[in-house]
This record gives sequence, structure tokens and C-alpha cells, in this order.
Amino acid sequence: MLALIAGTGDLPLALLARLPVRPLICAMDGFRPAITPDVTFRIEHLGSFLADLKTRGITEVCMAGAVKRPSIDPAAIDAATQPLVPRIADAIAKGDDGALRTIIAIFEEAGLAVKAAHEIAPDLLPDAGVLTRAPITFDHRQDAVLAEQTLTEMGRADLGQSCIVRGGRVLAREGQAGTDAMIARFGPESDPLWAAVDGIGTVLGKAAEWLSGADGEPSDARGAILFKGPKPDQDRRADLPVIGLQTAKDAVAAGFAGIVITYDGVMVLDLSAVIKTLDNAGLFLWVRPKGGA
Amino acid sequence: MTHIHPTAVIADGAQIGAGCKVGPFCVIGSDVVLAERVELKSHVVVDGDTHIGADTVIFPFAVIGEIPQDLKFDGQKTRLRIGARNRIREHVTMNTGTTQGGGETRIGDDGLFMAGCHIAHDAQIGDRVIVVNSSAIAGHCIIADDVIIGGLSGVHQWVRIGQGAIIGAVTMVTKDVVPHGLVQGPRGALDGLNLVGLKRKGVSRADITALRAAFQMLKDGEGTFQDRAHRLAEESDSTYVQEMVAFILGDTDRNFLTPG
Repeated sequence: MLALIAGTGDLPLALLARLPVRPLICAMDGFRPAITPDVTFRIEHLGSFLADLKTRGITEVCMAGAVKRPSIDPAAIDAATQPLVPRIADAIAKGDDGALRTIIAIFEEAGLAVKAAHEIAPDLLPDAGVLTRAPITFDHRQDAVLAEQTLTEMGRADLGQSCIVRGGRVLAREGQAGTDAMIARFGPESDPLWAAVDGIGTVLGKAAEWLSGADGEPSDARGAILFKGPKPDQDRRADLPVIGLQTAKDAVAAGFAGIVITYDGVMVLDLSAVIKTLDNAGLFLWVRPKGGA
Repeated sequence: MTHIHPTAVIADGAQIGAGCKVGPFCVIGSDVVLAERVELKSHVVVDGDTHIGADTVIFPFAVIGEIPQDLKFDGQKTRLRIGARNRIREHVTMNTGTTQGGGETRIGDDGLFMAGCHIAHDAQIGDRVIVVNSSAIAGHCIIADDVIIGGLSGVHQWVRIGQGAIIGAVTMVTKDVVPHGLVQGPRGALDGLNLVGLKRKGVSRADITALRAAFQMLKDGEGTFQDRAHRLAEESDSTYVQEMVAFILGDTDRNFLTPG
């Protein structure tokens, strides 16, 4: 029997829709998944939670959706979790992939198999190719190469799964706040004040970029690509990158040229709506095979 | 000062440049020209219409300038031209050309031809080429500058290998290789770009990025391989990419290895 440990976002719902039998829905206390959970747990009670899952006959778990790093209240740690405290503390100190690897190991040592979201919903991994009408140019291809290199470098430090690149320059790298926050920096259309000064801002921004050189803070990302992919050697059973309709809308709002995702490495929720949104705005979605040279 | 060992046999007419060293039991034919400071270690045979550039060193038992291994060859006078500063190791064989192939086998400067390798008739070898032990370059091949061919490999006749490409060991190359290509596997698959070579050469990151994008466009772009090359020519202004495109669109007698 499966337990779905649901975070925020639409991925847990997408998985639920594909499962023939409703799994046990679990959520960490303080997070509100789109599905009402059957069980909530605190990280301080992880040991008890694992025992509870075993008691309920759970044999495998799937972690899906976004979860931020919880803070730990030492006073709340229960007896069953005490032996796990050093590992939990170690996990929280690591980057995302390192943390998830530790958590996965704890679940597996408790006798629970960890199932990847894309194993439940393989259709969320789209085929390779340009799925939209807008063509990709050689410049986009060059930017994709640079973006892939950038993600590789970020991945070695276990930081982020996306970046924004334009004209051979990395405009932004995903930080702890995630992809949406990174894109939000470039969404002037969403801000009326921005719209009012947009014209002047563009001119000033380009001048600032020119003056500040490659390391300056970019003013906008129009014509850029949003590149998203898993970290090198990432454990694919948790935190495989996801994009969805909101990502597409944000990309449109930011004026990107398109979205590039790594083939077999990024799940797309509501693919048809994503394609329609991008097509309507003239953006491309390129599912790009990794590497190539 | 020129040193010629007393056991060396040098035919009348051979021209030995200043500072040459000809070691024991070397045999030099009448049409051979050795430029300044060429060194033949010992037991080296140089024959035919063969010119060897300055400061080249040839190691024992190499046979340079013998007639082509071609059944059509009928004694015509053909040539072998070897550039400067080459290192030609033990048991290497390099043949003169054939009339049908233009009559001249040519080796550039600063090459390293390791023990036992063979350069066949009419091959055109660029500068700084490295051919590792026991590899064979067949007739009419064109090997551009800075190519490395791994040990025990073979290059089929008429194949062109573009500048800066690298061929792995024990690899049979039967089709043209794009500049800076990386070919490996028993039947020579084009697996990517020689990124290490590009970085060592000091090629800028922007140019390497452009080449990688070009490679991927050649791999999965729309249309035929030639269509993609034409599109690359239009869309990229990178010199390296343009060189790659020119190679692809140039005359060839063989097909291309395409990205797998």
C-alpha cells in the first residue's frame, strides 16, 4: 500500500488522479497540500510517523510537491525520533538533494520503498523536441548550452534546478526561494508601477547591464530562456523538477523567448494547457536531450 | 656538423642538409632530400622522391618513402613530402603517392607518429597531428591540423577528419569526421566534441558554447544533415562553427559520421 507524502503545488493532485486506489495522504504539519491529508506529522515525530505507516500496512511512499525546510523544536522531539535526530539535523544542513537522500535513506531503513512520482505518472515526462509552434534559434541553442553548464555547476553545490539565460549571459540562478521567485524578479507586467516606467526602465536597464558587465544585476529578461533540469546525479525519486501552467504564465509575463527543460528530467503538469499558453504568446517549449556534445 | 655513420648507405644524388645525423645501417635513396638537422637514429630506410623537413627525427626501422601499397601502381615517379620537426617512431611506414591520387603524400609540421603506424599513399596530413601506435591511415585520407588518432585505430581510404578531432583507441573510422569531433567505439561513432582539446587550445568559452550548440543542432535540428548545416551557416557567426559548416558542405567522397 502506498502513502503519498504531499507537499504544496499541483503535483500531488496529478498523481492522485492517476492512481487506481486512493493512497494514504500524508502531509507535514504547517504545509497545506491541495489534497486534504489523512495524516499530518511533525518532523520532530518522524520516528513515530514511520512506525505509524508500518502499522497501517504501508509498504511504499511517494514524496511529491514542494516542501520547505522545517524548523525543529528540540523540545518537541519524541522518543521514537531521538535516534534519528543527528541524521535529520545533518539532512537539514545539506542542500536539497543531500537532504532528500538522507530522508529517503531513513524511510528505506524503516522498510518503506520510496517510489518516484514519474513512476506513478510517466506521462508527466514529455517527449523530446520543440512542442510549441515558435521556433528555436541558434542563439537559443547557445543559451541552452550555457544554461546547462550553469545548472551543472549549481548542481555540484546542490543549489537550484533552474536559471535564466540570454545572449550568453546568466541573468538569474534559482536560489532557496525556488523557480517562481526567480522568475518573479522579471515580471514587470504584473506590477502597474513597473508598467508605467517600463519604457524608461528598459533603456536604463540595458545601459546598466552594459556598464556593469557580465556580473551586473539585469533589469529584465525579455527574450531570455528559462532553463530547468535536474541536478547531475540527483536522486530522481524525490524533487524531480516540475513545471506547470503557472510557470508558463510567469514566463509569458516575464517576456521570455521560451522554456527549455531537460528531456526525461522535468515533469510537466497539464502539458496541453502549458503548450496552449506558450503558443498563444509566441513562446517555445523545448524538451532538450541532455548534453549532446 | 653533419654526422654520417660509416655503415650507412647513401645513394649518389641524395641531399643531406647541414647538421643531419645519419645513424648506423641507414639506407638513403638517390632522390631523397633531408633538410637541416634531420636525424635518422639507425636502421632507417628513406627512399623514393622523399623530402624530410628540418629537425625531424626518425627512429629505428622506420621505412619512409617506399612505393604505395596499391595494385594500380606501376612504377610512376611519385612523391612524399614531410614537414619540419616531426617525430617518426620505430617501424613507422610512410608511402609515396599515386598518379591517380595526385602523386604526393604530404605530412605537415610538428607531428608525432608513434611506433608501427602507417601513412598510405596520397594521404594529406596536417600540422601537429598525433597518430598513436599501430594505427593505419589509408590512401587519400585528409587529416587536418591538430587531429589525434588513438592507438590501434584505422581510417578508411578517402576519409576526411576535420581539424582538432580526436579518434579513440581501437576505432575504425569509415566516414568523414567533423572538425573537433570526438569519435570512439569499434565502428567509430561520433559521440560529441573534443572539448578537452578545445579547452587546451585556449578556445573561448563563447566559441565552445557555439560549437556545442551547433553540434546539438546538427544532431536534432529539422531537415537533413546538410539542411541543418546550411541553417547553421546562416544563424551562427562563430568562426569555429563556420569552419565546421564549411567542412560539412565541402567536397567529399564519403558520408559523414553524424551525431548519434
